[in-house]
Amino acid sequence: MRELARRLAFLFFAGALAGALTSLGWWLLGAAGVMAQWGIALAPELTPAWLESHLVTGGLWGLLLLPFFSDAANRLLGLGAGVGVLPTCHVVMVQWTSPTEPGALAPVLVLTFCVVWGLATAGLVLALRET
Amino acid sequence: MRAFLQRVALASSSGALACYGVLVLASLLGRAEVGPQQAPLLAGNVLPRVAEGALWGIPLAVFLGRAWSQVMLAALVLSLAPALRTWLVGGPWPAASGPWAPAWILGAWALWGGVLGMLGAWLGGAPKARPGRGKRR
Repeated sequence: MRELARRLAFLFFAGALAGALTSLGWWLLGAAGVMAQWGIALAPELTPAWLESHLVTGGLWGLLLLPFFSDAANRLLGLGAGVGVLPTCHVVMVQWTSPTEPGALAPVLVLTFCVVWGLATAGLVLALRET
Repeated sequence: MRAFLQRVALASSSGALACYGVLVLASLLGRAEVGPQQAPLLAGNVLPRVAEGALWGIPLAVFLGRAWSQVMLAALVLSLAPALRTWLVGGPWPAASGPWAPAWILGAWALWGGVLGMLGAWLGGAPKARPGRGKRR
């Protein structure tokens, strides 16, 4: 029981930290004007509430890696990247009214960031777990 | 390095879960309203507060792995910091008003500290208290 709870805590932390880091990357891309250049109307303002909500949602999505916690490093990284597709689907299909609402390239960018988030989460899990 | 990172992860996750627990309890008591028009347990209200709990829980990592009483005491003392900040600066939670506001704020954060300490001690594997001399006999 305690071991399961520890695993959940590690996954939440890894997902949350990866979520915060990728959110900062997302904000940087917007602040640097890259999103505007690509015609994507998603540049956020860096506010504590925005960052905190991404931190927690990242942690919650990270819990999806629980069944694969003990898998080999390569497999875990691959699964992490795969799990990154799910938040992409959530954003594109649930949060937006149409998949290309904020710009034609927006889904691709969201997918890229979610895959990077998944890889970062898996990497942090590898750093946290006992080998 | 890995051991410390693990303790940070445990403390932070404990802080987040403790904050969510206190938030649910506070909403049941009708004290978690951030505004009269907002429902207390919508994602927009909950997520920033859970993140705040996670961040305030991180310092407990220093004390994880010690005895239960020490972890509990450390968590309760650490809960004074966010309580003081909420009282002086005004934070997003708990949004209490009136003459009892300081008591609500301190009480909510102390409860958070208690839950954080229990979770942290359990997850961190605090050694059980050794029986006293009388029990050894």
